[in-house]
Amino acid sequence: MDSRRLPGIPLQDDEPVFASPWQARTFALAVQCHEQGVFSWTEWADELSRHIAEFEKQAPVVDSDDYYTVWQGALEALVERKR
Amino acid sequence: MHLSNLPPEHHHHAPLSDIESRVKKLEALLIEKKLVDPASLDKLVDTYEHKVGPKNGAKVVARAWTDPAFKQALLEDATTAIASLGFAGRQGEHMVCVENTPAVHNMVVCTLCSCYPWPVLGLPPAWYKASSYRARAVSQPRDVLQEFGVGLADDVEIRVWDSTAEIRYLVLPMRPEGSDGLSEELLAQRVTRDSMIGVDVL
Repeated sequence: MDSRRLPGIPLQDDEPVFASPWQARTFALAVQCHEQGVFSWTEWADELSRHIAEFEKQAPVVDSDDYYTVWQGALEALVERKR
Repeated sequence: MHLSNLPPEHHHHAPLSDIESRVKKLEALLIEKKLVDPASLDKLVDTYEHKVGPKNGAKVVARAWTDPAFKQALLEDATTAIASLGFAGRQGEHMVCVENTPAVHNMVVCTLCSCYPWPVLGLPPAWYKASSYRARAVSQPRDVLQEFGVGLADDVEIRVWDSTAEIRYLVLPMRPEGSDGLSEELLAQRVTRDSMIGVDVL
């Protein structure tokens, strides 16, 4: 056990960039949509922020699963709005 | 057979199969609209898993420690100075470098989402995206630093920088004592990711 690890802030050195393949996929989808001009990065950050704030009304964002689940929701919403 | 002999049901807080199918569905839609293609997605993932990471930032820091002209350029216009080492952003983000001194300690957060200097640090660790860090870095920075094992003297001013989609911060940590005469390459090996977020001192 890492002696620096305290409640609230999980500290992990050398954690993998993505905890599962679907996290990598939804990450790449958003980056490529931006590069294809579907939305600006500011629009994306605004959408993601809104979804995070909404999520946090119910529960804290704790791990990568939480985070990329919210990310996927934000991406679905923004793509839907832009189509 | 008694009910009690049945295997317990498994409850996952987020059934991965659901989220996996949502991601697949969205990918299929975006492929159909010719907005993404699978090969580029693979390449992008590989880039962020293997090619971009804190080693880039460590090179920037080590250069700043050893080259006063570069350091000045970095503090004046980090975007250009960092690009001169070959690390450029994908989102047109503006980079700002903040220097730690004996009197001032800088730390970085993104309170609203997870903006982070990808070109120099890669993607953020899970704790950077977690609610607890994002909320407490601003309200209780000294406590948060303590939890990371960083105890600062009371007279050291802590400056917390809130990243946005447009501005990403890189902390220039103080050069460790006893590192005189080390090559730029060896110095870069001393630089930790956390020191460039401002939650570690070297």
